[in-house]
Amino acid sequence: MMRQHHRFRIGLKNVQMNTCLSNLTNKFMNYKGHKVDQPCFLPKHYCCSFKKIPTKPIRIMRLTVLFLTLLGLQFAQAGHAQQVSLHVKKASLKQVIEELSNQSGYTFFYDQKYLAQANPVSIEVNNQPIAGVIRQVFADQPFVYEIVDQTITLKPKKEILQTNTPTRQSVITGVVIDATGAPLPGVSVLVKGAKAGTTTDEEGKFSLKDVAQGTILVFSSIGSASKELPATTAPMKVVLEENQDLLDEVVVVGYGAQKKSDLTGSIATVSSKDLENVNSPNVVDKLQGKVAGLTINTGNASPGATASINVRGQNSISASNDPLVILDGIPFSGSMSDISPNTIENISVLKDASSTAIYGSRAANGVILITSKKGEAGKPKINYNGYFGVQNVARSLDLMNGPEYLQYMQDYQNEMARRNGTTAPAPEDYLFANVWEQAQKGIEVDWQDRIFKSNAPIQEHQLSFSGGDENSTYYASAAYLDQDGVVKNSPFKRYNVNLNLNQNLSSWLKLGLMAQLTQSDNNGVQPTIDNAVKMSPYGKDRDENGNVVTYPMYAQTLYPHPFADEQAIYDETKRSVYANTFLDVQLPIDGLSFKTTFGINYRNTETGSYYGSNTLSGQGVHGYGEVTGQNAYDWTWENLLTYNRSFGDHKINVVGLYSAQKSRIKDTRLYGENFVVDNGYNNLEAAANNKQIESGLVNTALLSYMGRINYSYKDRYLLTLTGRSDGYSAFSSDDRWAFFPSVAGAWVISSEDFFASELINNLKLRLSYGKNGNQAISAYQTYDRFSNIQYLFGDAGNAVNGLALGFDAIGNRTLKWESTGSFNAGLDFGLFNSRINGSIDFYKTHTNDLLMSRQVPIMNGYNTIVSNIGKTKNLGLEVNLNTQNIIKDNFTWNSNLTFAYNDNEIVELTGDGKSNPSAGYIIGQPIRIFYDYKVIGVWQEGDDIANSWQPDAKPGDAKLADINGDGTISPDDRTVMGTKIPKYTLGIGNDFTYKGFGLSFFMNGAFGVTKEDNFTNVERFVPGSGANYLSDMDYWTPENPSNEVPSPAYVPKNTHKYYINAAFWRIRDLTLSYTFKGEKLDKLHIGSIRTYINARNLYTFTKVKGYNPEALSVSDETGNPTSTNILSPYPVPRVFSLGVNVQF
Amino acid sequence: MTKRIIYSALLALALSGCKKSFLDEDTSGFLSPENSYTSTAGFEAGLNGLYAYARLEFQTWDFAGSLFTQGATPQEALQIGTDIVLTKTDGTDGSLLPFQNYTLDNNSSYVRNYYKFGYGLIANANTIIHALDNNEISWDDPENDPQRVRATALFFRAYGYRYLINLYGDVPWVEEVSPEPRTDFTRMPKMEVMQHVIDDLKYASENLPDNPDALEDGKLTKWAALHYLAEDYLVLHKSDSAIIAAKQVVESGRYHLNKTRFGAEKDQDGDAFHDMFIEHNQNRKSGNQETIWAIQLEYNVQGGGDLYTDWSKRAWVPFYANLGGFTLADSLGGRGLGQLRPFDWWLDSYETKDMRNSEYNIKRNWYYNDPASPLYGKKVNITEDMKRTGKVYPTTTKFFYGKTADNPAYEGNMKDRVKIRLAETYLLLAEAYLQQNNKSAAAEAINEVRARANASPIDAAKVDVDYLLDERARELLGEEMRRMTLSRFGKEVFLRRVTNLNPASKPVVKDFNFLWPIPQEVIDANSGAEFPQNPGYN
Repeated sequence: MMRQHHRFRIGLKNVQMNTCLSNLTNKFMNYKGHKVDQPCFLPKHYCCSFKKIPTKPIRIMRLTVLFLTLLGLQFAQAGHAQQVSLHVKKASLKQVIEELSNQSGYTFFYDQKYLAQANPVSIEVNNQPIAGVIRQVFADQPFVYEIVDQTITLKPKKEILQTNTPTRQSVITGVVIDATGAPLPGVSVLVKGAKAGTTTDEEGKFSLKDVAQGTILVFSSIGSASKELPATTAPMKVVLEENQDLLDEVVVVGYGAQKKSDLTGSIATVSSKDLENVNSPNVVDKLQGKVAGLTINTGNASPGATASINVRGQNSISASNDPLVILDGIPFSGSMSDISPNTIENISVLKDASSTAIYGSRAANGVILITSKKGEAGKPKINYNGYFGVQNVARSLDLMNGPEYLQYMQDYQNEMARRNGTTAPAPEDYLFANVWEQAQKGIEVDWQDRIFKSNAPIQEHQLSFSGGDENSTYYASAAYLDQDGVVKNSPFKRYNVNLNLNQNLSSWLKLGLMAQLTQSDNNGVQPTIDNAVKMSPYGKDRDENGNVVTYPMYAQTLYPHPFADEQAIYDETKRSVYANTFLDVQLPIDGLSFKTTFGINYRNTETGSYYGSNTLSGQGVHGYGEVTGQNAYDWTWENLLTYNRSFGDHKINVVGLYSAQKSRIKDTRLYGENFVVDNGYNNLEAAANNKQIESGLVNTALLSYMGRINYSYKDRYLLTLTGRSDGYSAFSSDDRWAFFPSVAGAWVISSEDFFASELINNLKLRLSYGKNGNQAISAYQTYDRFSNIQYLFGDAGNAVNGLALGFDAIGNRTLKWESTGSFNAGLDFGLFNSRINGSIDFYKTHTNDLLMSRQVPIMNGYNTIVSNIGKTKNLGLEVNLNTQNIIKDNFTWNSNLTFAYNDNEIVELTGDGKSNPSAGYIIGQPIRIFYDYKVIGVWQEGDDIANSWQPDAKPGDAKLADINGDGTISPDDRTVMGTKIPKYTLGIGNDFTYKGFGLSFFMNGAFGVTKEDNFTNVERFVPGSGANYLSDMDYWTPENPSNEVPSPAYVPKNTHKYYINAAFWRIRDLTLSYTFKGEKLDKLHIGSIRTYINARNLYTFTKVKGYNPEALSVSDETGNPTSTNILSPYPVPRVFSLGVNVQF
Repeated sequence: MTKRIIYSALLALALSGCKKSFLDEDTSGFLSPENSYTSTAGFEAGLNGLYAYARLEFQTWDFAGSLFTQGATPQEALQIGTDIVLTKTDGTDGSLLPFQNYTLDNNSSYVRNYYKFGYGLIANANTIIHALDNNEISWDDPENDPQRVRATALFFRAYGYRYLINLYGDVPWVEEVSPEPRTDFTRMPKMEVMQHVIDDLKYASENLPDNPDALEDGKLTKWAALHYLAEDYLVLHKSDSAIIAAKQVVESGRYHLNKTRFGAEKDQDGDAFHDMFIEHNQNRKSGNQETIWAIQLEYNVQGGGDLYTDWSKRAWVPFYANLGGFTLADSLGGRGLGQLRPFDWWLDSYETKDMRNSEYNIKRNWYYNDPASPLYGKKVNITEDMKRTGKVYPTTTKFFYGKTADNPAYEGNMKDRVKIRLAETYLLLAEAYLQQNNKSAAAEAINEVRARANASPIDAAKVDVDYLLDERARELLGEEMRRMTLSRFGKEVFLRRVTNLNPASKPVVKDFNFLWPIPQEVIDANSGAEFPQNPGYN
C-alpha cells in the first residue's frame, strides 16, 4: 500500500534506520563501554539495545527485529517502489529480500533466526507489482508477513509469544496516534524485556495476545520519541510525539528530495510545525528569524502586504534581489501573501550555489521551495484551524499636545526672527486661522487616535479534508481570512481553496494535480498617516455634520485632513490560480523514470476607484473614476528524467531537465473625469472630461536545460555535479544563453572508522562552489521605449499623442546575464546523541556583470540605463542550533537559534574604479548604504563659528563633520552613515511542553542596520507650515542649548539628513497552548483539540521611535530598498489571539 | 512499448523546441524610435512629444503621462533671487528659499531638474534628428516634411540649450543619443555652444512655416526661431545679426502689438494689456496678434495639462484666503499662497497713466470680501506684516486664475503660457541697438512697447541697460524667466541689479551666484572625465 502523504515519514524512518545501520556497521564497533543506560534519543530498540558490538559489517543481527534498508534515495523514488523484477533460482530468502529491498525501497523487519528455516526461492517476474511478488516469494515460506507502508514485517507462522507466566493474561488492544491525533501505522509495540511484540496497522491499531495487565509496553517508531506504558485491559490510546531529532529528516531539494545526511549543499528547512507557533496570516511573517541567512524585513506592516525577503544578503545593486519561489515544483510569481500558511507542509530554503544551481537562471538570490500538504491514505481526516484576535498599534508616537505645540511654534518664530534680524510676530499673525481659533477655545485633536483603530479584529479559519487509499489520495482545504488594519479603512480579506490529488493509474504510471485558488480584497481609502502625524493638535477635525474639514489648519496645501478622501471608493480584488499537474512514468529500465509537469500561474488584479466631488482629490475635476485590470499568466513545462541506482556501496542519482516557461502580463486602465453624479466607477463612459485609455503587454520567455549527478560512496563521500543552461528573452539576442555549473562535495566524518567520539555523534563537512545567474530585470531593456505624452494645439479640438523618451528609456543592446560565483563551506554536527544539532555555514560570493540600473551623466539624454557593469561580493556566516534541553515524560524544553552575519561590498562599478557617491554606491562599501554628511552636534552660541569650517552656520544649526579636514564643508565630506540592510540577524525560539500544555516563545532581531532619522530632521516636519512635532525631542533653542536636535529654524545644509541605529530586538510570538485528548473526545469522534493564546509583537527594544523600526519601502519591481521612512510607515500591530485546532 | 513511444515523443517534443522563436519578444506593448520614426505620422508624434516636453518645465509633480517631476513651481526659481520679486520665508515651497538666500547647492532640486529638463529635451530632439538619416521613411510630402521636422527638432534643441547655457554656463554640446552611455563629457565653453545653437536656429528660421494663420495655434513658425536667434546673437554680442533677426520679426507683418481690446472679455471693463492675460486669449485665433509662440495649456481638457501643471498662480497670488474677512474668489485670483511679492521699485516705476499699471493689471487695492465678516466691503489697510506673510500685497494680475467653484484649492494656472510675444522682440531689438550704443534706435524700439501701454516715450538719452531691464520688468514681469534675462546681460549687470534692487538677496549674493551649480549627480556620474563644478560651489 502506497501512502502518498506519508512519503516523508517513510523517508524519515528509512533514513534513521540507515544511519542506525551505518552507525552499527562502521562505528559501533568502536563504541567502547557503550551501555544501555547511556542517554539515547533514538528509539532504544533500534540502536541502544545493542550490547554486543559486532566486529564486522553486520548482515545478521541478533535482534528481536532486524531491519534491512535500502541504501538508496527511497524518498525520491516513491514512484518506482511499486514494481520489481526478479530472476532467481533457488536463491536464499535473504538474497531475495535484499534484492527486493534494493529495488523497491521496502524495508523488511525480521528475526534473523527464522531465516535459517526459510526455503530457497525461485521466481521469474518482470516489472510486477511488489505486493504480488512478495505474495509469491512467501507463498512457500514458514512465515506470515505484514505490509505496513513500505515496511514488511516477517513472523513465523503460528508463532506463540513466549512470556513469563503472568498471573492473568489477556488481549491488550489499543491505538497509537501522533500529537495531532492522526493514527500512526508501523509503530513497534514490544513487551519490555521480552521478545513479544507487534506493529500497528494502518489505522494505528494493535493487538497483543497473552500479555498481562500492567506489563510494560514499549511503543516506538522512527521519527517519534518512544514511550513506555503499562498495559491495560481497556483499549489503550497512546500518543507518540514527533521526535525532535532533526538530524535525518528528509529535505525537499530542487527536482527531488534528499535525506539531510546526504545533502552536499546548504539548505534550511521549516516544517509546518515550525510555522504553527507563529500566528500570522502571512507565511513570510512566520519565516522571520527561523532560517539563518533568510533576512525578512517587515518594511510595510499593512494587512496583505508582504515583507521583503533576501537570502544571504544582496548581490545585485539594481536588479532584483528577491529569491526565486517554487510552489510544488513550479516557479511561483504571485505574492507570498496569497498563500494560506496552513496549507504548507514544509519549506526549504536553498542557499548555496550547489543547491540552487539547478535553478541556475534565477537562483543567485536563493530559492524558496514550498511544498503544500497532500492527502494520505487511510481514514478521512477533517481538520479545523481558526483563531480570532485583536490588533492594536504596538508603538505610537509621542506627539506634542496643544500647549507644547504653541511653544514649539513660538520657538520657531523666535528663531526665524532672530535669524532674520526682525522681531517675532504675535501668534495670531503666524498661526493659521483655524489653529488660532481652536487654540483660543482650547480644543485639541489627537490625530493618531482618529486614524488608528483600536482592537482591530482579525480572524482566520481553515477547514481541510484529506484521505485516500493506496492508489489515490486527496487533500482539500478552504480558508478565510478577515483582517482589519490598525489604521482605519485598511482591511484585508483573503479566501483560499486548495486541492491536491494524486492517483496511481497503474504500477508504472502516476499522476497528480495541485490547485490553489485565492482571492484577496483590499478595499477602502486609508487615511494619510503622515498628515495625522504632522497635523496641528489645534486643527479642526470635522464640522457639525460630521464632514471632514478638508484643510484642518486652513487652506494650507501641504496638510489636508488625513481623511480628506474618506468618501472615495477604492476596491482592489486579486484573484489567482496556481495549478500544476504531473505525470510520472516508471520507465522499463531499472531506476529510470520520467516526470513531466505543467504548471500555470494566473493572476488577475482589478481595481476600481472613484474620487467624487466630495473628496479632496476629486473635487477639482467633478469626480474622477478609474478602473485598472492586470492579467498575468505564466506557464511552465518541466520535463525531468531521473535515474537512480545503487551498486553496492555506490549510489548514483542522475537528473536531466528540460524546462520552458512563458510569462505574459497584460494591463489595462480606463480613466475619466467630470461626472454628473457621484456614482462610482462602473459607468466611466459617463465621464465628460479627460477620458484616458491605456493598455500594455509584457512578455518574457525562459528555456532551460539542466543536468545533475549525485554520487555517494558508502554514504560518507558525497558528490554533486550540476550544470544548467538558460536562455532568457529579455537579454540581447546574442547573449541570451548562459551556462551555470556547480560542484559540491560532502564528507560524513562521523561515519569513518577512525572517528570515535561519544560527544559527537554526527559530523559532516560540506563544500561547494558554483555559478548562478540573475535575470531579474524588466523586459524590453534592450529597446528604446517611448512614453506617450499628450498635447493639445489651440483652445479647442482634440488632444494629440506625442512620443517622448524618459530618463530610463534607452535600451542597452548588449544586456546579458548577471552571474554569481559562490563558495560555501558548511559543517553539520550532532552532539550528545543529537541532543544538540546544528550547522555552521560560511560563504563567499562574487557577482559579476551586475545587471545594474547604472547612473550615467544626464547629458546622455538619460540618467539611468540597465547595464552589465560592476562587481560585488558577499561574505557571510550562518549558525543554526537546535537543542533538546530537557526531555522528561511530562516535560520537554527545546530551543533553537538562528544567527546570520552578512556583509557585502561593491568591488567595482563602471570599470574605471570610481564610485558614484550621489547614488550612494561607493567601492569598498556595502551595497545599501547611506552616504551623507555626518552630524556631530549643534552649533552653540559662543562657538567660534566664523572661524570654523562652517562659517555661515548659525547657533542652532547642525554641526557637520569636516571629514577631509580641508576647513570647509563640501561633498567630499560625505561619508558612510550606515547600511540599510541588517548585518546581523538573530532568532531564538523556545518550546516547552508539560503534559497537554505547550508554551513557545520566539524572539528575533536585526543589528548593524541604519535608518534615516526623520525625527531629528526638524525641517521635515515643516514648522513653517504649522506642522506638529514630537513632544520628546530635545530641540535647540537659545534657552535650551541642545546638542542633539538642531533648531526648528535650521534648514539642513546641502540637504543632509540624520541617521539612527535601527537595531531592534523583538519579542515576537508567545504562544500558550493546551491539547485535549481522550475518551470523551473519542466519543465525539474528535481526535484532538488544541487551543492556544498567542501574542505577537509583544515588545520591541529599539532606539527607533514610532510605528515600525523595520520601516523600509521597496521597489515594486526589484524589491530593493527605496527609502527608510520611519516617520509615518504603517504601524506594526500588537496582536492577541485565541485559536483552536480540532482534528476529527 | 507504449511507454517507450510516449516517452520518446515527449522528449522529442521537448528537445525540438525552436530556441529562437520561443525566446523572441512580443514588443507590441510599446513604441520605439525604430518602428515609429518611419513616416510623417510617426515624426509628427515625435514633434508633438517635443512640444509636450517643453511644457514639462511647468510640471510640478507626477501625473499620468508625465516623464519626470520638477517639484512645485520650478520656474519661480528663475524669478527669485533676481531683481523683481521677494519670496516670503515661511509658507513658501521650501525648495524656493535657497534661491533667494543663495544657499542653493548642487543638490537643490530645481538645480538638478532644470539640468535634466534641458538635456532631456535635447535628447528627444536628437533622436528625431538622428532618425531623419534613415532613407526609407515614407513621407506624405517628401519636399517639405523632412525639413520641417528637422527644423522643429533643431528649434527645441536650441531651446533646451537656452536654459543650460543661461543657468549653468559651459555645458557639453551633445548631438546624439548613444545607447552606449558616455561618462567622458567635458564642458564646452558657453560661446562655442552658442555657435552650435545659432546654427540650429538658423536652420529652423529658414525651414519652419512662415504663416502663423495657416497653422494650428501653438505651432512654431520661423519667427519664433528668429526671435531666439536675435537673443542668442545678443549673448555673442553680434548686435548686427541680432538686429537683422529681430527686425525680420518686427517687420514680418505677421504680428502686431495688441493695442485694442480683443478676446473673451473685450466687452467688459479692462484694457488691451489685460486682455492678454485672460484665459483663452493667448492664441492667435482669439484675436491676439502679438503672441509668437505660446505653450498650450487648457483647463480640464485632455492634452491640456493636468492638476499638476503650472502652479504659477499658487506662487504669485496673495494668500488672502488666510486673512480673516476674506473668502476665496476667482476675481481675487483664486487661491494663491503669496509666495512671490514684486519689489516696491517695480510698483513705483510706472507712470500713473501706464496701462500696465491699471487696476486691471496691478491689484493694489484689496477689499474684504467675506459677507460673513464685519470687515466686509472695507478696504484692507495693508500692513508690513501682511506683506511679509504674503497675505495681502499689491501685485500683478497676470497669474490670477480661479476655479473656486470647481475646486477652491485649485493650484494651476491653465492659461496658455506665452513664451514669445512681439513686445519682447521689440525689447530685444532695443537691446541690440544698445549694444551698439545706438540709444535713439533703442529708444525707438522701446517706445513702441511703451506706446501701446500709453506710457510716455522715453528720451534716448535716458536709455541704458538698467532702463531697458526696468522696462522689461514693467512689460514682462513673471512672463520672462528673469534669471535668464539677467544672465544674458552678464555677471556684472546681474550682481548690480540684485544688490541694488533685492534687499533680501543683497547681503548674501556672491559673484559666483551668477551661475547655478552643476548638479552633483552629474559630476559624480561623469567618471570618465573631469567635470569641474562652477566656481564657488562645493
